[in-house]
Amino acid sequence: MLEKLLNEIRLGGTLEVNALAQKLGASPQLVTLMLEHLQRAGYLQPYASCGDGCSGCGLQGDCQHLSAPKLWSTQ
Amino acid sequence: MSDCHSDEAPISFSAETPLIALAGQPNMGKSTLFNLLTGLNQHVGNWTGKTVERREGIFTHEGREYRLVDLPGTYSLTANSPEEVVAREFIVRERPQVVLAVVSAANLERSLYLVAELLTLSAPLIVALNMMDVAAQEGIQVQPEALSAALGVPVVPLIASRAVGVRDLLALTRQALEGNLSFCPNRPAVRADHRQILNQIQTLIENYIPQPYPPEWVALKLFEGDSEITRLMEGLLPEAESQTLKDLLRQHDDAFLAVASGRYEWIAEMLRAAVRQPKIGQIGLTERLDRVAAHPLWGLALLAAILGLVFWLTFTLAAPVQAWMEQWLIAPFTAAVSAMLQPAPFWLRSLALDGAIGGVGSVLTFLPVLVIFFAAFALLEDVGYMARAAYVMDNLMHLMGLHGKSFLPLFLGFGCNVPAIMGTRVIDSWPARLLTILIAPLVPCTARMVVVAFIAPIFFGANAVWVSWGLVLLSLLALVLSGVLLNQFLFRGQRSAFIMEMPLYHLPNARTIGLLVWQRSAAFLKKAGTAILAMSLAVWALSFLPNGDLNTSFLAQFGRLLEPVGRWMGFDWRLTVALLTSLPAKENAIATLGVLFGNSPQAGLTQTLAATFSTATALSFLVVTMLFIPCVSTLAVIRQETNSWRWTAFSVSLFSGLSLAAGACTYALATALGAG
Repeated sequence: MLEKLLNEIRLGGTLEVNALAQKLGASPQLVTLMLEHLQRAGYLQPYASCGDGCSGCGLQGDCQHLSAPKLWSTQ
Repeated sequence: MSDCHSDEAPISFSAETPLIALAGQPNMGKSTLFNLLTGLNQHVGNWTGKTVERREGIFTHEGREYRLVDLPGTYSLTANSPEEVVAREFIVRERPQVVLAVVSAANLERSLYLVAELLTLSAPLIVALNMMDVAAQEGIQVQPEALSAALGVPVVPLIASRAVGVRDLLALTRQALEGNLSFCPNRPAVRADHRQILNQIQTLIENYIPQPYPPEWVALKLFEGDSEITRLMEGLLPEAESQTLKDLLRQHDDAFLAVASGRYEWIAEMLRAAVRQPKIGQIGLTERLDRVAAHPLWGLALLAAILGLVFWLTFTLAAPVQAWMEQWLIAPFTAAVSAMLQPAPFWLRSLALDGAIGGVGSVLTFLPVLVIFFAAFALLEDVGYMARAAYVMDNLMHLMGLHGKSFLPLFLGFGCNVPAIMGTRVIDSWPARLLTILIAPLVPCTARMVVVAFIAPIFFGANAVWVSWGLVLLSLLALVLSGVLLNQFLFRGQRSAFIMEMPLYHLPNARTIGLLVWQRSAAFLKKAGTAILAMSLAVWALSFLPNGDLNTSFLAQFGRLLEPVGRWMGFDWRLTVALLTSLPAKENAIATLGVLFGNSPQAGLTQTLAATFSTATALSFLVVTMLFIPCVSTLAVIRQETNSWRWTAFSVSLFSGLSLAAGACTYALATALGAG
């Protein structure tokens, strides 16, 4: 199942956990768990808003999103 | 192993006292159960040579004493952390008679990975299915009997916080200790092709595995690439066997994926057997709404509809407040300042009335528009919709060959293009980052929307909503088309993945929205009092000097120089100047119009503008504003992030060409359709 998920990720593009869960026949929680596993294994990296880019920016208070999605991207 | 570092006296127990280990992930209620069982008979110290806390205690049940060790909370038994090493070394070396795995019924997916690993060890396992009450509250129905049958080990439902089920757990533990409980664990399978290699490894190492490590477990850990076990076996194997092992592992360096994959398939199987999760409440609602909101086609249609609704609400609700402000605040204030400055020199009156009030005052009357606009977007963010909007937009961009990682920086651009460009730092690939930097200014920022909110109602009345909506779509279309064209030269079809877990929809929080509207409005007011005021005064000075006549002023002379280009788009020199003054900050365009047109004795600024320019000119001005050269702050960040004047100049050229071409086409088309 983890390998199938990795194959989906390798195809590239924007993927969403619920859609991936449907494709793999798993629950969204299990897909999230597998994504975290791939993150620990170094396949994915967590994507944190604008990262270092925001530090020192006077506008950062202006663009903090209230309901930010949890994000990963390939290394 | 049980060397404790603590001032407390170690608890005493006899050698025959049965040893029970409590294993589980953090926050599954393991400590609650430990405290419940041991009470004050516990001892806290550190594991030997580690900074990991060790908790041990004794408890009595039905006249018999038991020794209980609370293992550190771990997600797995792979040597990823000191806690995981401590937990597995304890189970392997100290050989507890029973291991109690505390799992959460409300989060079984997460809990079962550790159980999958515990089952591969030789200790008898009992699963304490904790937090049954939380699971029930969340609508998750876990069937302990079905889970027990699927796992092949006993499962006891539990609510540790209320001591519910603890007696049953202890009774089963006792039965297990007395050997009256059968264990037939259903362990995760390793794929057939890998199974063969695993057996090969086991055969190779079995004569060298130290006691009490189980051979199959050691082979599996080697297969997974576990660093501790690999180091251990490398120190024990003879040269030839060690080399053969290394070769085998090198040939199957993806094996850890196959092993983990097998565990996840096993978890899915367990969940299918034991969990019923009717999709009610937030999860059900989110899934139903996302069938439309996150759909590649309907999602885009919904986004367009929501944008239209936001503009409609903004204009409908703000217009009366804006008119009220103009009539009852700005006009009386202007009259009062005018009366007060009657004896003052002409230039000073002009500076105050035309420069300061004409410029900043015009911008400030649009505060109600902004407050409603900010509130609408804060509401969409707070309920969780904006993540969907970004997702469907990004899907569209991917269809056009754009980069997935570009999505969040571009998303930030709706607030301001500066953080959008700074946010591109998370993109590793330079061509992808450069492409995102170059197209980010095409995301319509709030400053541009202020100009649209000012101009559109003057010329388009009730249709201002549709015009504003169309302008946003035009910007996004320009973004996609520019991206596709630039991608042909910079990107060459490279595709990376981007995965997102969208937040659940939830009811908005008035306080959060209020705070966000306040922060954004305060930032706007600060800008009006500083940058916009300074530009208003500068524009006034240039329009006043050298002789107090606007038509022969320095500004007019400069504007007339550029007027031939402005004519392509239907602009006179004043509109051309207003556009150029938007370079330091987009809102300056309104302030400049306020300075240049706001002193008409017969009518207010809006009436004067409506009487001076045609609808075709206004539409062309809006199109050019949306696509024009980014503000100076954005250009400075483009220079900083690309570290290149060449790319900054390219950006200026790109947006100049794009905006002028789009403006000229719009003007020609609108004039041909009779709007001239």
